[in-house]
Order: sequence, then structure tokens, then C-alpha cells
Amino acid sequence: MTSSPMPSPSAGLTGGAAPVGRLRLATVILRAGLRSQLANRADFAMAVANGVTYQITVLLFATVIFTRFPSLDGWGVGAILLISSIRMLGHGLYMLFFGNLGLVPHLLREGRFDAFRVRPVPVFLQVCTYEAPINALGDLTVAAASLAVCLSMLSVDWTVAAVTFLLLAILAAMVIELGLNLHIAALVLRFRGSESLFFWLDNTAANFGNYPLTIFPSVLQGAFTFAVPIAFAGYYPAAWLTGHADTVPFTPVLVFLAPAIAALSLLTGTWSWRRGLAYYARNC
Amino acid sequence: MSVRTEGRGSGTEGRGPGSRTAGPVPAPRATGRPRVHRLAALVPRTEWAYRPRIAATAFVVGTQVFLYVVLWRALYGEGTGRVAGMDADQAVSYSVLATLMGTGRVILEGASQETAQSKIRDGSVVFWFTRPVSARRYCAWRGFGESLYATAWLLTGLAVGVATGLVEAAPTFAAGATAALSYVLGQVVFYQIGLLVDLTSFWTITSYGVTRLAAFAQVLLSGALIPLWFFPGWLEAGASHLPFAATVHVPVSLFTGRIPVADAVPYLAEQFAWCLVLALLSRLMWRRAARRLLVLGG
Repeated sequence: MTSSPMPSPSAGLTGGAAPVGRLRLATVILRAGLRSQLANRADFAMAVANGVTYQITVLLFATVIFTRFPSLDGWGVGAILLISSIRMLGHGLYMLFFGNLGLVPHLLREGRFDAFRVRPVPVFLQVCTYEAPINALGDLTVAAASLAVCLSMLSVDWTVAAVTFLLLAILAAMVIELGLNLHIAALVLRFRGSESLFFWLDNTAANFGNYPLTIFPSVLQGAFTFAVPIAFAGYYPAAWLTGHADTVPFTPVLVFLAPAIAALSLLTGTWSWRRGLAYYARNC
Repeated sequence: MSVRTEGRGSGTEGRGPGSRTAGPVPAPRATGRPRVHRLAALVPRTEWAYRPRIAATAFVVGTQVFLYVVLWRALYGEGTGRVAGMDADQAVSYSVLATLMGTGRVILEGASQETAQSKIRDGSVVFWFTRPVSARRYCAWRGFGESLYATAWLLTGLAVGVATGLVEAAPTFAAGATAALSYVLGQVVFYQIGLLVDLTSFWTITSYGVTRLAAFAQVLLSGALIPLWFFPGWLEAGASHLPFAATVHVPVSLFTGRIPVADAVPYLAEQFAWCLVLALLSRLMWRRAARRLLVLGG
């Protein structure tokens, strides 16, 4: 690694070493990160617990709303739980692999980001492996439990096609979140101090991405479909799986578009991240 | 504990960001009181230094308020019924105020990097104990400024909310005044809870886990996300007597008329009691923290 030529500072998601070497490197760095976090075991345990408690808050919010307001546009508890399960599993996977993107402001403030730029490894990889993502374990635990509960409540015929669709939907949810967060990380590189947008996206998806889109007015249906497409990270795929495809706004075709939206989100996010890095290299 | 005040940091601490003087820093006057009140401007000035933060905060707070309003209106639908003793207008008013109070605080959390957690990590916590102002007073003044800044956001949001009809003004002048008093007590409780969590870093060095766990409790049990009135009876009864409820639930419930002014005294007394208990606890922790100070990299 040390003898390889130094990449340009704008090296984005794909620059640097060969993919296999990068994967090995990521594993080594992550293992070291995990060990350093295990140094303080109480904090480690609390970080795992935090993932659990945060997702419990989200579920409790949904439960309270459901108990107090039983009719949510013809969707039953199991169907709504499927929306949040897909979203939460996607979110847990995002946190596990890419959640460190939210640490970019912290890395910038401490000057570590500048060190990343001069090393012969992609900046993105260094960010993603900066810290072992302990929280994600808690997130994934709650998401898996939530999925198990909702599957027991739903009477879906789990054919191979349906299971593949569900897995694709979870992956799409992860990639959509990655794409959107790459946009925000790029903004943070350009405008210092705009990091609260990470909180905004997380909070908006967690508290508004768990319901049938039709309960919102059309302006929000449009916003969550075309501008910040969090409806594809749960609602639209769940609508197909639970037989609500004919009730979705705009067109029923949308229930199949989660993978395409994920690809688009990732492409634009990557482009944005590269532009952000290039801007940072020129101006900071 | 051995403390070195030389090396990095020495000579730059205490100078304002606009200071351009090349000469020696004038020694503080031997007589007269230090102008500690200027520390209250620390957080607002940090925010001003990173102006995109202000735009981002306005965007985040504005959109969050809008989203919650839409959600509550959708949930109540066309009906004018009451749920858990709250009608649609009360629920929307509650949500707007709770979001303004909760979201503003979450965004501000640790933004100035003047927390024990970050200072212990880079070793500069030593300056808290070598200044002419005690660490406890330093943090209190900084917290006061943070509270004032958050209040400015709340008042702006309240003015816009009342003007646009999103927030119903307090039913009576007495209700508004009682809510204001309750808000002040709530801010003290809020500061003390944050301080106690932050001070745990003196023992644990890294306290992200504790901080996040406390943030969870704060969001859930303060009523910032869901009005506590909507919880099941047993949970509401328990949560409403915890200090978290004193920060958001009580003042907002008083403002929206969900707690009538005639019943306010026990709530205010409980808030005041929490202020005292937490202040005593934090005083005790300050003493022990100072004895235990460990400087990393300083």
C-alpha cells in the first residue's frame, strides 16, 4: 500500500486500492476500532443499548399514535409495522456500513479529515471505518424483532418472488439513506455548520416514514416521493407486499421503483460527494 | 494530578476571536470583579461564527414544526373530538411548542464543543480549572447563554406560530405568565440534567453512550415527541414525576391550558424541587470531578 501513488484529493468512493485490498483494509481498521471501543466496556454496552432505545422510541411513537387513532387509512397494525420494519432494517444496515458519514463534521472540526485526504486510501473508506458502528447492532436487533412480530401478524403468501422483493426493498432502503446522507455530507463539506441536516433526515425518516403516505396532504406525498424519497424506503414496497398497491398516490407503478430510486439516489449522492470533496480541496 | 499550563493552548486561551494584538496579553486587573457575564455570549457567538448553522437550524426547526402539524391534523382528521383530554388545536399547539423547545435544544447540544466530554478528549479541560473563574461558574454562564439563545428561537417560532394560527395563544394572561415561570424552571432542570450527564465523562472518559441514553430519555419522557397525555395511564403517571417532564411537558401543558392555572402550584413546586435536588447533585459531582481530573494530551 505504501508504495502506491497518492490519489488526487478528490478521490471519491472508488479511488485508491483494489477492491479486495480495500475490503481487507476496512476489516483490519474496523477490528482495531472495535478493540478501542471495547476499552470502555460500560460505554460500549450503553452504545449498543442506545440503538435499541432509539428504535424503541420510534416504535413507541407509532404505537401511541395507533392506540389513540386506530384508523390509519385502511392499514392494519401488521401492515404499518412492515413499513417501519423495512425502513428500520435498511437504516440499521446503513448505520452498520456507512453510519460514520454523520461523523464528517466532527472529523472536520478535529482536523482528522485533512489527514484522510493525504493518505493513499479513499476518503470515503476512511470515514466509514473511522469508528466501529456499535449503535447499528442495537438498531438491527430492534428492526429484526419488529419484522418478526409483523410477519406473525400478516397473512402474506411468502413466495420466492415476495421474499426476494422484501430483501430488495431492505437493500434499497439502505442505499436510499446512503444517497441522501452523501448529499448532506457534501453540503457539510461546503457549508460548515450545516450538520444539523443529518439529524433532520434521521428524525424525518424515523417519525414520518412509518405511515401510509395517504394520511399526509398531497404536498408531503410529493415531497416524500420525489424530493426526499423516504417513501420508497418502506411505504411503497410494503404497499405491494400487503395488497395496498392500488391505494398509493400518483401511480401504482411506484411500488416497484424502490431499487431504481435507490440507484438514482446513490448516483446523485456519489456525484455530490465528489463535488463536495473537490470544493473542499480547492477552498479549505 | 499534575497540571501543565505551558505548551499548546497557552497564550491563546482567553483571547477573543477578533483579537489581533501582537503584544503580550494584558494581565487581568487585580481588583474588581471579572466580567464573567460575557461568557453568556459564548454559544450565540459560536453560532454566529458558523452562519450556515443558523440557516440550517431555521430549516430544520421550520420543517419539523410543519411536519408534526400536518401529522397531528391528519390524525385528528375532520372531527373535533378530544383524545386524551386534548382537542386538535391543543394538540397542534402542544406539538409546535414542544418541537420548538426540543429540536432547538437537540441541535444546540454540544455545538460549541465546550463540553467536558470534548474537552477531556483533547486535554484542554485543564483550562477549566486554571482560570480565575471556577469551572462550575464557567459552565453555568455558558449554559445561561445557551438557554437564552434557545429561548430566542422559541419566541421567534411562537410569534410566527401565533401569527399564522398554528399556536393558540395562552387562554388567559395568568396561564401565559405561569407557563413562562414554569419554562424558566424547566430551563434550569434542563441545564442541570445536561451537566450531570456531561460530568460523568470525568469518570468514564468517553461518555457517548451515557449522552445518547440521556437524550433518549429526554426526548421520550419530556413530551418533546409525544404529549405525555397520550401515554398509557401507568407510564404517564410515572413519567410526569420525573425531571424530564419538568423541561417540556409542564410548561407546554400550562400554556395550552391542558393543565389549568388553578392546578399549577403542585407542578411548579415539583419543578422547583427538581431544580434544588439536581443542583445539589451537580455541586457534589463538581467537587468529586475536580478531585478526579485526568488530563489527556494536555
